[in-house]
Amino acid sequence: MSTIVSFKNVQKTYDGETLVVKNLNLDIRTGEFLTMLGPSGSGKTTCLMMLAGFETATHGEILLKGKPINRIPPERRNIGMVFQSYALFPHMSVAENLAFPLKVRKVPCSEAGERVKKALAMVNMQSFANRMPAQLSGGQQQRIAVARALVFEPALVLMDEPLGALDKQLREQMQYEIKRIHEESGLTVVYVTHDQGEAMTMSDRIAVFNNGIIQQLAPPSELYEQPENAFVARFIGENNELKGTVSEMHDHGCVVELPHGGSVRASAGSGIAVGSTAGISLRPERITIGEGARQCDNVFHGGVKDLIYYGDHLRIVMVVCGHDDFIVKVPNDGMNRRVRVGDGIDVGWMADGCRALR
Amino acid sequence: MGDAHVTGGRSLKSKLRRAERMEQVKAYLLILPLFAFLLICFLLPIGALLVKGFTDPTLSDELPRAAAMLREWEPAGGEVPDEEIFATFAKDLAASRPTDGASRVAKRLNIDQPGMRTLILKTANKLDTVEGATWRDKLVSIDSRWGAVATWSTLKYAASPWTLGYYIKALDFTRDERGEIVQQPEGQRLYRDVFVRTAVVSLSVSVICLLLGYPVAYFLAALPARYSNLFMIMVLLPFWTSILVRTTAWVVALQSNGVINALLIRLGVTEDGFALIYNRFGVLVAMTHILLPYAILSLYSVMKGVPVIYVKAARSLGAGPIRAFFQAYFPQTLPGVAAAGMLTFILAVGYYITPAIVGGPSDQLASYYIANHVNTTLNWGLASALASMLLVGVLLLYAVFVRLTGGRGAKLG
Repeated sequence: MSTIVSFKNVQKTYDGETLVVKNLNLDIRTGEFLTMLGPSGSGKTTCLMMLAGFETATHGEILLKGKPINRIPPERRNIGMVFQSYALFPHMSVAENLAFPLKVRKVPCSEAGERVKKALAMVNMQSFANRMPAQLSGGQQQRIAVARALVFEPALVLMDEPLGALDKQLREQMQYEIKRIHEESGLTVVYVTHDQGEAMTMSDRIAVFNNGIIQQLAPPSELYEQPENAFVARFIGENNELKGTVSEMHDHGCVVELPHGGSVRASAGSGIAVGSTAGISLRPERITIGEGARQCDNVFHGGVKDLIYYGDHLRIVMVVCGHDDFIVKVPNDGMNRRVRVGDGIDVGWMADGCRALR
Repeated sequence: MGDAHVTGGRSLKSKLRRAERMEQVKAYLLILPLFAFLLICFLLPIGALLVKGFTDPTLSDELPRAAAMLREWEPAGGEVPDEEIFATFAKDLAASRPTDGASRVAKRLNIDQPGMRTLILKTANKLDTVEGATWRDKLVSIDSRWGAVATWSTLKYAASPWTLGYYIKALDFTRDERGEIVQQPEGQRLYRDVFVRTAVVSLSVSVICLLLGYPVAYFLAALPARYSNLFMIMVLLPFWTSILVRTTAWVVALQSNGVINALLIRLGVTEDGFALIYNRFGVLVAMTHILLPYAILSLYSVMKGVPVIYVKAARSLGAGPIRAFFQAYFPQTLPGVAAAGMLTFILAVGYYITPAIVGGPSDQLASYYIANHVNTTLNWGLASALASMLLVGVLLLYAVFVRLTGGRGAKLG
C-alpha cells in the first residue's frame, strides 16, 4: 500500500520552550481512515493543522505524495478539511458554499453545478441546496461541511473533531455516514478526536497521542487487546490496573508478584523483564465471577463494595488484592443478579486476558 | 366539577394579572424619573422648537385687525389694498406703539424684506403729525413705498400666525411680489449649498473613518485579549479630552507656522508651508480624528463575533489569503461597516464646533447656520426649519439604511 502523507522527525513548539509535538514520525497510507486520538493538549490537532498548512513545523518535514509541503500555503495543498465548528460561510447558501472551492478553481459553471448536486446527493441533502446555513440543524450543517470538503475531490480529507458539537444519537448516525462516504469514495481520511468510542468504530488505524508523542499506532482491535503501554491501556476502554513486580518470564507471558501477596500470570507487553515493575491491564469484561472463576489462570477472592445497574450489564465494584476500585463487568443474567453488596465472591481471569505493561 | 375548574382558572388568571401588575408598576416607577427628565428637558423643548418653524405670531399679535384683513386681501390683482385696510393698519400701528409692538413688527418684517424696519419705524413715528385726506395719502406721503403692492404683500405673508415661510427660505425659495413661490436669485441661494456641503463632508469623513478604522479594528479583533485591551485603551484615549481641546490641538499642529508645516519646511518639501487649516482639508482631518474611535468601536464589536476560522476554511478550500479575506471574512463584517458608516455620518452631520474652528467660511456645515440663527440673528423660526430639515434628512437616511441592511444591520448603539 502506498503512502500519501509522511511526517518525518516533525517537531512543533509555540513558545520556543516546550515541544507540543516531539519528533513525530508517521506514514499515512493511501485510502485509509486514520484517527489521531488523545487527550486535549496531546498534540493531535497541531499535527492536523501542520498537515493542513495552518501551522508550520519548527523542525522536520511533512511529505504529501512524496513532495515536501512545508512551504506550500494551505490553498495549494488541495486537502479537504472539515472543522469542528463547521465553518460554513453564513452569507452564502448551501449551494454557494459547495460551489466556492469550484469557483476558486475556475471550474466551468455547468460542471460545478453538477458536482455540487453530486456532493449533496452523497450526504443526502439534495433538497437543501437553496437554504442558508443558519436554517439548518447542527447535523445538517455537518453534512454540508463534509460535502464541501469533498466537492473538489481532494485525495486527502482532514476532519478536526467534526462531531464534537453534536448530541450522542446524531453523532453515532454521522459516524456511519462518514464511514460510508469513506468506503464509497476511497478517500484518505485523517480524523482527529478525543472520543475513543468514535475512534474505535470508524478507524482503520488509530494513532494514540500523549505529550506530543504517538504512544501507539495500530488498528482498533490491536490497540484494545494489546496496548503497548499503560497510557494506551488506560485511555482506550475501561481498565483495572494492578501494580507489581515481574518475577518470571516465559514464552507465553510472565508472572507478576503483587505487593499484597499472590501473583498474576499475564501476557507481556514490550520492555517487560524479570525484576521490573509492571502494571497489569485487565479489562473489566474479561473477568469471570463465581463458579466459572475457579477454572481461570488467575483466581482471587474479594468483597463486593458496590453494584451499579446498567440494564444490559452490571458493574461490580470490588476490593481485590488491596485495590478498592476493582471493577468487574458482568452480563445482567439470573446468576449475577444474586450478588449483593458485602458478599465475598471469587473472581478469575485467563492469563491472555490481561497484559503486563511498563 | 367543570364549573369549579373554570372559576378556579379565572381566579388563577386574575391572580396572575394582579401579581404581574405589581411588577409592571414597579418597572414603570423605575423608568419614570428618566422619562420625566427626557420629557421636560428634551422632548418638550424640541417639540416647541419644531413648532416654531411653522409659527409667525408677531403681526397677528401686534396688529390683530389689520392682519386679519390683510389675510383676505389678494396681491395677485396688482392693486394696493383699499382705504379700509390702510386705515385699520394705521390705527393698529398707532395702538401698538405704547407696548413697543411697532419695533417688533419692524424687526420681523425686516427679515423678509430688508428696509422694512426703517419703513415701519418711520411710519409709526410720523402717524400723528402727517397731513392728508385719506389714510392712503397720509401713508404714501410718509413713504412712497406704501404705494407699492410689494410692501403690502410682504405684510400679507407675515400676517398669518402659521407660515411655511421659514421652510421656503430654508430651501432657497422666496415669494415674488405676486405671492408666487419662486427660486431665490442665483447670488442669494445659500442653504441648498450648505446642505449639500454638509452631506459631502459627512460622507467623506465617514468613508475616511471606515478606510482607516477597518484595518485597526481587524488588528484589534485578531489580537489576544490582554493585548487588545491595551490597544483599546489607546483607541479610547481621545475620549478623555474634550472635543474643543482636540480641535484646538489640530489648529496648533496644522496652522501655517505650526508643527507639521515647520517640519515640512525643514525637510525642504515646501518653502512657505501648505495651507492645511481653515480649509476643507483641515475640517476633514480634525473631524476624522474625532470620529475615528466611534468607527473603530462599532467595527470591532462586529468583528469580534466573526471567527477567523472562516478564513481558514476558505483557504483550505483553495482560496488565496486575499480572496479568502474578501469572500469569507469581509462580507460578514458588513453590518459593522454599515453601522460604523451610519454612526460617523450622523455624528458628522451635526458637527458644529470643529468646522467652526478649523474650517474656512465655505466649510461651515448646517449646524453653524442653525447656531447662527439661534444666537446672532435671533431668527428662531428659520433655525427651527433648518434643524428640522437636517433631522428629517438623517431619519430618511436611517430608514433607507435599515431597509438596505434588512434590519439585520446595526441597531445604532
